[in-house]
Amino acid sequence: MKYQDKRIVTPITDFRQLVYGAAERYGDKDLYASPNPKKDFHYTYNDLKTNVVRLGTAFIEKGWKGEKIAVIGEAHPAYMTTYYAATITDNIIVPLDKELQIEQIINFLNRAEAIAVVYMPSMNDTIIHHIDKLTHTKYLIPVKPEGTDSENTVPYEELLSQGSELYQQGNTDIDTMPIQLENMCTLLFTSGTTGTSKGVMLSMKNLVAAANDSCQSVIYDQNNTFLSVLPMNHVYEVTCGHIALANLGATSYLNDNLKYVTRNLKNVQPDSLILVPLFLETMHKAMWKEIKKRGMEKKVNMGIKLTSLLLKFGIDIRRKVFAEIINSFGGKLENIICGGAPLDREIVKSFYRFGIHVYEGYGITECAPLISVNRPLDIVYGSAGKPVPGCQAKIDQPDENGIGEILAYGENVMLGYYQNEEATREVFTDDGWFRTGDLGYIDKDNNIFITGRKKNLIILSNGKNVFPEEIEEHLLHSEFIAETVVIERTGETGEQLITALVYPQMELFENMSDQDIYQKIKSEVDDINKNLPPFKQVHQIEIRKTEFEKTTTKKIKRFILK
Amino acid sequence: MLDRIMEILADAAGISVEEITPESEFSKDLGINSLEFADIAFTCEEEFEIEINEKDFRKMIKVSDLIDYINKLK
Repeated sequence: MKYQDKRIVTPITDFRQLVYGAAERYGDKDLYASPNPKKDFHYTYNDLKTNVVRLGTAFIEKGWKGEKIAVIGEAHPAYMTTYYAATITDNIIVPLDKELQIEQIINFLNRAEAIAVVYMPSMNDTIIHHIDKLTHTKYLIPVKPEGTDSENTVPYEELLSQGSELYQQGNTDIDTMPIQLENMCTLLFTSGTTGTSKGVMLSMKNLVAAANDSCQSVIYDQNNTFLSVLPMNHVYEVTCGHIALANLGATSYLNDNLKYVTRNLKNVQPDSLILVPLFLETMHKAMWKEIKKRGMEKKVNMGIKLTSLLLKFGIDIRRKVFAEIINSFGGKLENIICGGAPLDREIVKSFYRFGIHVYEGYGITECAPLISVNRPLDIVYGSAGKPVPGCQAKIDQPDENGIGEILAYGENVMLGYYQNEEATREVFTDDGWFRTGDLGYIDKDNNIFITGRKKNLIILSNGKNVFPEEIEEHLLHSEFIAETVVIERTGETGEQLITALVYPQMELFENMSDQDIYQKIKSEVDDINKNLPPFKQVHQIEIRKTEFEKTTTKKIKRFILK
Repeated sequence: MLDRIMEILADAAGISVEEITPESEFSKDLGINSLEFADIAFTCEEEFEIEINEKDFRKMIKVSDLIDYINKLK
């Protein structure tokens, strides 16, 4: 049975048309709301348009054109308001990861030559103390200032007031200024040190293409309620969780702290979620832990058998039978989009048995990010679905099993890497296809299956990328570590463990026992960990007594390490 | 309070309290991922009527880090 899409979906042409058009269609409906009853707010589609106009007008008045405006912090209505205001006024939004160490944030602000940084409340006590290290950033724009002022601080609300006044006085350029679809409108730094991180340049055309594909491929509309849990600096969250949802008229409750996800699921009772595998794995684990704790394993398994059988006859009572399980996620959860990292197909099947549909997708920042997604009534377990309407995919140099590098082509594919023409050239074929660096195959029905990674990258189940080379660079600062390779291992309970294989500087450990060597190296690694964001910290070390095997050009043969 | 922290962790990890020591690492030894740990932070907040800063709980690697943090707040 094929899914019949009865929605009327307005195509996005640019972000101004999106914001203005959505305000016309959805007016006083909540775009964003707070899941926390104590911090109640409602931000309607009209509010978004009003504030985008105000903020954008303030940017225009400052003479900002082609400037980089950074934004950092937790989910907050001001985040996407800033995003749209910057990009509509021909500036470049630079979303930064709030989990980075401050030195890295400063490094990216300087590298981007950002003129301003808009920061959410959780970042109040951070950037303000490092103004002297900023080389280009003249404006610090706190959304909710808390008394820490400097001459560089311009409160967000003040800009809104300025913009409002100017607009009322007739400065309405924002309504009519040409929209530059082909220029860079967002700059996204991948994880890593200066040597390893790259800046992905996306145009509005790229993002609009990906957002339109997202709208076409999912089943959401204005009747859906989301709980937004992913970090705002992920293009996956922005494109699929904000731009696309704004076009469809959905409401998104903004979860601003990971601590409150479980509570907020119950408060908000979302019917839909956009997640990375870490969330699904955790939810799945929690579900079965509770089932086992209550001694209901046998009953649930019998229920699965019965409901699966009835489903074959077109009778769907899954959500009735498993109501109690679904209640642990609020009670109304029906649909989950999942991407950003590999997902265990058994988890997808498990959720399906309880009446929750998981649509696994595949994307990469360089593709804004959407390449493929499973569709309604067409979920293929283990696959990342079919390419989205605006993106083509093919396999480069397939082997006898049809496996090769996945290539992508479409209007969603990036402009290139910031200030790095060489790296840009390396990732495009001569005829303009983008090299994803992922290995896989495409079946006869055009479903993409991802089998591995070509590049040295550890993708965490929360979607974050960890470049082993970056961590190795940090570790090699220790005089006690001669050589090191960072790899991923799987722990006993399936968790990902960033593991450092270490060959110590043996002359410093003469006459020391293995245990003492281990303790010393561990202590060095612990110190290094303190300067790394949590998701990059080394979980365990393995000491080796011999050097790593190397190529003729003295590069460590990583591929033989397990 | 220490007993209660251990119970919360044991429940989250699905193991017995006896298997947890102050030196147990959340990810490596207890198999607790970052999302589960965020949930534990929330449970501790409710239980002990404190507030655990997100930046602080993300830095915690082992059980003693959590115990020391809560002790300081209480």
